[in-house]
Amino acid sequence: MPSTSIQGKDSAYHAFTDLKPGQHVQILSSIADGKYVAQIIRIR
Amino acid sequence: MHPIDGYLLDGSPSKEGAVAAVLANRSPIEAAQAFYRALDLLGPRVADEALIALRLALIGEAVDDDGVLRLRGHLSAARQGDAGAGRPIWPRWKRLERHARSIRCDGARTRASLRTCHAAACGRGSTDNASGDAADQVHNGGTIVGKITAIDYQRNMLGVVPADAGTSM
Repeated sequence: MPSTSIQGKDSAYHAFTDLKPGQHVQILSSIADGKYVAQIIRIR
Repeated sequence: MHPIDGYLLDGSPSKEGAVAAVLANRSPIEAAQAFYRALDLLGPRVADEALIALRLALIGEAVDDDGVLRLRGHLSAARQGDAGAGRPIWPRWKRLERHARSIRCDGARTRASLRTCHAAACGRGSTDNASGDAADQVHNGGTIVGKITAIDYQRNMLGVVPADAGTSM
């Protein structure tokens, strides 16, 4: 099962809890076992 | 079993219990929010049809009069003693429920619920194209650019609205 990398504008570590409603993001996803899985979430 | 299913099919939990359980464990799914507001206002006085509609919204089904009335008919028949009457709807509900569970994240492994924005971005309104994949196959799900509309930190579930319909996938 893949895990998700969350990237910000800086080089700091980011976690899922850094995501907030209203933020613009770019999500690169995959489909495994019929499910959409976010591989990379880039905070824009 | 989901509390709404239990109430509608078996009468257990009670309607009050089912409504309380639903309100205590809200889903961030956008289509469900209007029903939560109705439950907040009316509580157990809400019509069974609203609970059916909420249930449809929670599993990603389109909420329309025909669907609600069809399910109400099945449930009425099941309650009147036709043991098989409720069965035809459950396999589909269960399949969709499994999908809904699968798009939640747990622990350090983060998954995002992208089905809504995926459907909006590339016009695929159904999950069937994805659910037909073999369990050991991984496909490119594409790129989605958009705005976060809802986050469930406990379940690591993310709702995103695409910035425009022309998003590349």
